This record gives sequence, C-alpha cells and structure tokens, in this order.
Amino acid sequence: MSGSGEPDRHQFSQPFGARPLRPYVITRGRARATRNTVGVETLLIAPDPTRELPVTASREERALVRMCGRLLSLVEAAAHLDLPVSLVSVLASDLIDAGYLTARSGAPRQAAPDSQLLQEVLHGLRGIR
Amino acid sequence: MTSAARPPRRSPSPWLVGALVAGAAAWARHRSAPWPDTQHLGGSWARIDPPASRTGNPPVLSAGPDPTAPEAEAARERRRVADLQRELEHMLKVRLPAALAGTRTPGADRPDDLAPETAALLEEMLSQIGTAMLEREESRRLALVELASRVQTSAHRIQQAMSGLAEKHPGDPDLLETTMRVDHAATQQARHAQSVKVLCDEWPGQQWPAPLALVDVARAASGRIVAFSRVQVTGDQTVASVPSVVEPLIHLVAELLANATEYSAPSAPVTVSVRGVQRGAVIEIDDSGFGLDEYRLAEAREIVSGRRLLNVGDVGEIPQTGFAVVGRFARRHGLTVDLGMSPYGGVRAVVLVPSRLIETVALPAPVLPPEPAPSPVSSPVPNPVLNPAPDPAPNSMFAPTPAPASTIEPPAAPTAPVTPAPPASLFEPHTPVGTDPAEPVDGADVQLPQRRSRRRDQTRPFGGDPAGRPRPVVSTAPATAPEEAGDWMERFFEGSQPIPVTPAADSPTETPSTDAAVNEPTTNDSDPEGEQSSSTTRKDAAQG
Repeated sequence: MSGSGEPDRHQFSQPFGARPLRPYVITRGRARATRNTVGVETLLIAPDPTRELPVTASREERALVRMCGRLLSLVEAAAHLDLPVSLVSVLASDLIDAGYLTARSGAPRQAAPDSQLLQEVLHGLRGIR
Repeated sequence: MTSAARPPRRSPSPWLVGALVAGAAAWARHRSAPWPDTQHLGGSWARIDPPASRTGNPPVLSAGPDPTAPEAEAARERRRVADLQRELEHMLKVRLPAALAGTRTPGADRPDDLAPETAALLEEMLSQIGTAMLEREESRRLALVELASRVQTSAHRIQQAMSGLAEKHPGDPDLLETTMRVDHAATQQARHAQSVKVLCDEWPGQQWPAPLALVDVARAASGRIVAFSRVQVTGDQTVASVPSVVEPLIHLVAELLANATEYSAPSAPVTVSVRGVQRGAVIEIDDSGFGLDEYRLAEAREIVSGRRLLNVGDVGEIPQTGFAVVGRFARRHGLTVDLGMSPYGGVRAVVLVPSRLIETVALPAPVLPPEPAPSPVSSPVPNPVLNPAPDPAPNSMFAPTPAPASTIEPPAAPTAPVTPAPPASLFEPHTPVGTDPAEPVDGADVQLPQRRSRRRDQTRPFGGDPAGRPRPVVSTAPATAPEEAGDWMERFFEGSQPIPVTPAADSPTETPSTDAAVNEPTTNDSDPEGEQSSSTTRKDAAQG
C-alpha cells in the first residue's frame, strides 16, 4: 500500500527545488506567517468547510481548507501538500485570519502522552548513560 | 503592454556596400580599358562593334572616319552603362536586402541586357554574400545558445541551492525570505536565458513530468517576472495543460505577463483568468495600461500569433523579446495567441490552448496513500461531513506539483462519488465509526492515542520474543530513520524496564482500540494512519 505511494512521494519531494511553482509565488512573496502562534503542532480545522474561498484562492489554499475538514496538525497538512512547513504556516495563518480555518494550539488533553509514557521515556533516556 | 517589437531594421552592412562600390569601380576600369578587357565585358557592345575591337583601339577613344560611328557607339555605351546601373540598383535595393533577410532572392532585373560574364559576377557576389551571412549567423546562433544555456544552468543551480537551504532551516523566516528573493532573481535569469534560446530557434529542454492546472501555469509564469505579486489568477481549477507544453506555456504566459506588468501602472493588478472553452481552454491576461495604438497593435498581433517570426537579431537595440518569444512558442506548439483592447483600457492577451493539449485534473485528492479511499467503513461516515466541501471545490488538490500525475488520474471525471473518497482517506483512519460533523475533534483525539497504541502494539511481539528481530513486523512501510530510531527506543525500554511496560501501558480504554486496529475491519484504517503519521514524521525530519 504505502509502497505504491512512496516512490511518488519521493519523486516529487526531491525536486522541490525544480518545481514550476516557486515558493515565493505560493506565499505571494511572504516568508513570515501573520501569526506567530502557528507552529508545526498547531491543529487546524475548517469551522465551515462549505464556505467558499475567494476566487483568487490558490489551489494550495483550497487543498488546505479541504483537508482541514477534520482536525489536522500543520505539519501533517504540510506533508500532505508536500510543501515546506514554513510555507504552509504562512498559508494557514492567512486562512485563519480570514476565518476559513481555526487554530487550536497544542494537542488536546487526551492526545497528550500519558505520564506513564513520559516516565518510560525519562527512564530510557537516563538509562542511555 | 506597449512593447511592440519593431520591424526588422536591416540596412546593408558597410562592407557589403563597399563590395558593390568596388564592383562598380571595377566595371569602370573595364570600361576604359583596351579591348581585350572590354571583350570580357559588355557582350552586346563587343558583338555590335567588332571592327573597333579588331582595331585594338579603345572603343571610346576610337575616332573613325565615319562620323556616325562614334555617335552610335556613344549611344550604345550610354545604354550599356544605364543597363548596368539599373542592374546594380536592383541589386542594392531588392536582391541584396532579400539575401540579407534570408528570404528568397529575386533574379536579375533584366538579365538579357547584361553581358553573361557580368551577370555571372553579380550572381557570384550575391551567393558569396549569402553564404557568408548564413555561416556567420549560424555560428553566432550557436554561440548564443551555448552562452544562454550556461546562464540558465547556473540559474537553476542557484534555485536548487536556495530550495535546499530553505528546507534545511524551516524555522528561520529571515533566511526563508532571502532564499525567496534569490530564487526569484534566479528564476527571472533563467527565463531571460531561455528567451534568448527560443529566439535562437532552440527549444527549452526542461520538461515537467505531470500536467499542470492552467491556473498554476499562470502562477508559475508570474513567478518568472519581477512584479509577480500584481498578478491575480482566477478561473477554472480543473483545466490543465498536458506535460509536454507545460514549460512552453509557462514561458509564453510569463512573457505576456511581463509585458502587461511593465506597461501598466506599478500598482495596478494584472488579471489572469482561465476558462475551458469548446475548443480547449483560454487564458486571458488583462492589463490596465495605456494599450497599444492601432499600428503597433497590428504589428504586435502579427508577431505574437507567430505569423511573423523574429530572430534574435531582429528584436532591436533595446531588445523587446517578449512578443517575439510568444510568437515562436505559439507557432511551434499550435497555440493561438491574439491581442486586443482590454475593457480595462490596456491590452488583453488571449491564449487559446487547443483541446489536444488540455487535460482535466479534477481530482482534489491530496497526496495521500490513495488506497484507503475505497475503504468501506470510511465512505459512509465522513461523507456527510465532507461532501459539501469537496463539491463546490473544483478544488482540485494542489495538483501543481509536478508529480500529481499519479494523483490526478485523468480518468476520474469530476464526479461526486470520487471526490469525497479521498478526503475520507485523509481523515477516516482516525475516525471512529459514527463521527458527526461536530465530532472531528474527537476523531483527532482518538487518532493520536491510536498512533501510540499502535506502537505499543508492536512492542508486544518484542516483549514476547525479545531475541527475534521484530523490525520486519514493524516496518511494513519502508522503515525510515525516525521509525527505526523509535523501534530501537522501544526495544530499549523493553530491556531496561521489562516488567510493567506493555500490560500496564495499555489502559483499559485503549486496549480495545488497539485490538480494533489489529483485528477488525478498521485494520485498513489503522494502517494508513500509520503511514500517514510516518510520512509526516519523515517530512518533519526532512524539514528539521
């Protein structure tokens, strides 16, 4: 399953430098997100997926809103879009500003690793020495 | 958009004129030379005046006893001179320019009036000039192509280096901004180099592997001009160009955009709209500049349509290569390009891409493992939620990436049933059955613990069989470095804390979920979930 997906992924994650759509076009020349609260772990969700994006919305933005029909972390979205996280955070910030996306910082309580696991990691790390 | 390429400015070069003058001078010498020479010259004269020739006297100087002879001779002489003069004029005004322009050279004006030798000399001169011109032009062309290629290659290297740099430091906006600037500059450099090559009748070697939506063609094109931020692209998101003309189209549109932005107010937007039409698809570019006057518009239309091809030497001292390049691409790929008045006051450029060069990239499927899409569980569930989104969305996924070939799947007509599926694949793995629109959060909540439980799941075999190589089990997906690291860590835990880990960690609530992942139909779901997360991890790693 993943085997079939893999080669493709590599095929075009490699030549990112040689894509026709340059990064500055995707972000319209901006390197900074409008919100500094949007990080890789920020969870994104489209509050109203039926809301139409403006006609000038790019395909990346449309795809982003679409895939955020369910809660999705920024970094995952970036992976699906096959774009650098930094670019996606710019796009996501715009969409959040415009109200097409909602950000939830941090993972929900349930999703956070339980203390037991953390303990294990701690033990493990200590054990390395 | 006022750049009208000017008409080819061709004046015969000085050395050519010199050659003609020299020829004329030589003729003059012949004319006054004694007969052995003159015999070579004017045939009619030699024929008509044999006695004079036989006497060996220079015909002009001969003063025979017959008073009429000199007059007749003078008359003939004048006619001969006139003939030659006319022929030379014809040469200078008609034949030579034609030879220089590389078009078909017309013949002598009245070849019969000339001595055969003279005519032959003239022909010889013309052919020598033509050959020299051709050779010179060819070598110049090759040199230009070579130089342009080098520039282009180096520009592409810069782009690649910049992309690499940006990907290495994703968290640094300053650096990212700089790489964008450099990338932008390099992209334009590459375009200019490629323009030179195209004008030299050399075609871009660069090809993109996948179809590209025309809206993205326009955006990619905007990336190649200075004022890319003024370009506003709207239109049909599903119409795409076949891979073979992606690069030509990008370049062509870039040149039109360059003209549009250069010849309109610096703050005015340039709008691009894409729409499918009966005979293919149309890209319209409107600027709000002053437009072109009638004459220049007519001229520009000739050029952009490809009806009149301009060479690299024809574009003028202030090279305005744009339209010339557009015309060459249009002619070569059978694109219809036309210019006209824009309702915005400026120029409207219309590119018609014929249907044979058009594909549909309707599928908004994100670049996901496409397999889970058809999974039975998912489709009923997320549909209610996601249908609305995909529907209005001709939102074909961000197909722009070169690779989406696989994702795009032309067969997939933009039918409703297909569309919802991919999103399902996207989220479904995390979704417990019966999710409602309100619940996506829960779904996501579940997803994360699930991931963890999957790991734990895998740890079990380790616990049971610590000696055995558990990894094969784990890495059904290509084990990437982070995954291996994770596995190693887990085994490490096993070693250090053999007693409680696995059983204790599986809290009662979670156990069922892991079971589900293993045994129940949701297996499908858990798998892709794993891939997804793993791919994310990889991406993450790549970013970091």
